[in-house]
Amino acid sequence: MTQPLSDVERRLAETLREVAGQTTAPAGGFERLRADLDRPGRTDRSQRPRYGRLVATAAAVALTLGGGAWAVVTLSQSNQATSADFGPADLVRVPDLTPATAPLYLLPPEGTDLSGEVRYWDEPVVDEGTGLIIGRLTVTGIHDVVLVAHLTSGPTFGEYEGSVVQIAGRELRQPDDADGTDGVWVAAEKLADGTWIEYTTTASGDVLAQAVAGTIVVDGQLQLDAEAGGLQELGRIGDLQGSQQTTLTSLADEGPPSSSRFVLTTTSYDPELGLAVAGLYGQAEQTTVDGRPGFLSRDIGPAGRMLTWATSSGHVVQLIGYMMTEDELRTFAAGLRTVDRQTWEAELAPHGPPTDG
Amino acid sequence: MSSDGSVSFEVLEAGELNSLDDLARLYETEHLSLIRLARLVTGSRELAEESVHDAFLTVYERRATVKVPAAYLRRIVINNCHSAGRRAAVERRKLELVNGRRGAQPEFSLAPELDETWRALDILSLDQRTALVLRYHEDLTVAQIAEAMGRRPGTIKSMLSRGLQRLREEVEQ
Repeated sequence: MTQPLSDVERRLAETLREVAGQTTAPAGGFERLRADLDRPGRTDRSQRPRYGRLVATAAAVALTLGGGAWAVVTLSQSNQATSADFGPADLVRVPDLTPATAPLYLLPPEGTDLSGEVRYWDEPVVDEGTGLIIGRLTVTGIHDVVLVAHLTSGPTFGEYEGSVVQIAGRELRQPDDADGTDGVWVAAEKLADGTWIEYTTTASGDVLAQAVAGTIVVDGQLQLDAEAGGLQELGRIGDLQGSQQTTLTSLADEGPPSSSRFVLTTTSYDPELGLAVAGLYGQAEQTTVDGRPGFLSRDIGPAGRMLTWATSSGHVVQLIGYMMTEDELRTFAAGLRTVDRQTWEAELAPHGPPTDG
Repeated sequence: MSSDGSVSFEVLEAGELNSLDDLARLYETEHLSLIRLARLVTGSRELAEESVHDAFLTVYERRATVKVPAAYLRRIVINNCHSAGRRAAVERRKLELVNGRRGAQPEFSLAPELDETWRALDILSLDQRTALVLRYHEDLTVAQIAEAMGRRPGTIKSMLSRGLQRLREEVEQ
């Protein structure tokens, strides 16, 4: 370094040196490495999950949310699946929730050539990892195919702070500080109508574990994450096996109800929370939210449950969750909409009208 | 590994990672320094060990095409750290929402001033933290950091500047 270090630089360098100096290598590391190398299929890339046969389970749903819609696509790995197993027929629609023109997302147009579109360290993505295609389904067909790729050893494309990535002729933007402690947002794209699409992928080991694509309209501006302290607890889903571990949280503490985003916070790592999730999705058809009746839970697709209830403001909150294992919630979406009593009764019969809190 | 403990750029020349003996030699020279690098980037011993272990597996699997194994290892370790760190951050954030924020359990002994700085690193994005570690621990140039992280030099400069600023604000509070 040619310039004297500032105080914070000096402290940082000293801190890093101290922590590194107190960090030792684990014993027996190379033996474990050898054992893993000897494991059948571990070094044979043809035996590893790759694009085209990665996806065994797929589901897509859409919810009205203000002027936009949410769509969720969940993937899980299965070595038994082949590309032939997968196609648009796997799309799961929620007909009573999805307007005919609402964007849905599905995956993937089989055989789409990923090579030449995304390169990482001068190697095409098709040799580096797995990928999927997400397109937009409209009444006239599938349009606006956008690539979301996950690289075996590299970052998911577009994870560059403030970067713009051209993929298949589409421009995707990565918001500042969008990774790390701020979450797992991958990229965002603004459509001509002002709607933003957010793409999120999560890796599990070296394969794609989950991808989520959603549109959202938040007062005309993209809201990617909550500001510090902006989390607002709207309600607590309790009374499930006597627990209070699962929280419904809004990421928007201001603005009209239609711009609120809801997150069912949970975790798969806490045994008690795991029980709470299992109870949430696996138990009664009708239960309560904060002691209010009218909270409905029903199946909507593979391993998925939808929860519905009415708010005191006359809105209907609908939350969708998918479990990849019996007690592990892997993804979720939530929407808020306003319906009249007739619609409510038509959609939720025979459960009856909501009982407002 | 260089004399100061940082990761060397080129331990093996092209095509030298052909056998398990070569891998053992690479492991011997690079493993500890990569563990330290990953620990600084992720803040976690467990994530660091996992990231480095997987990186060695990957580099050996790709030995036929890897030209400079040590440099490739570093890239993979950084990428693995980011993937693992993102997962951990999401899990941590969800846990905090449910259980409230809990202080991390110290795994080592640091002077108060350094401990404060170490904890302050948690507020940075993974990109910022990685860039700072490569700059102030590995002593890489901006160009070298850009190569290691696969970013443009201008982006790295921005990460370093903003990361330092956030760190300064945090420790001065």
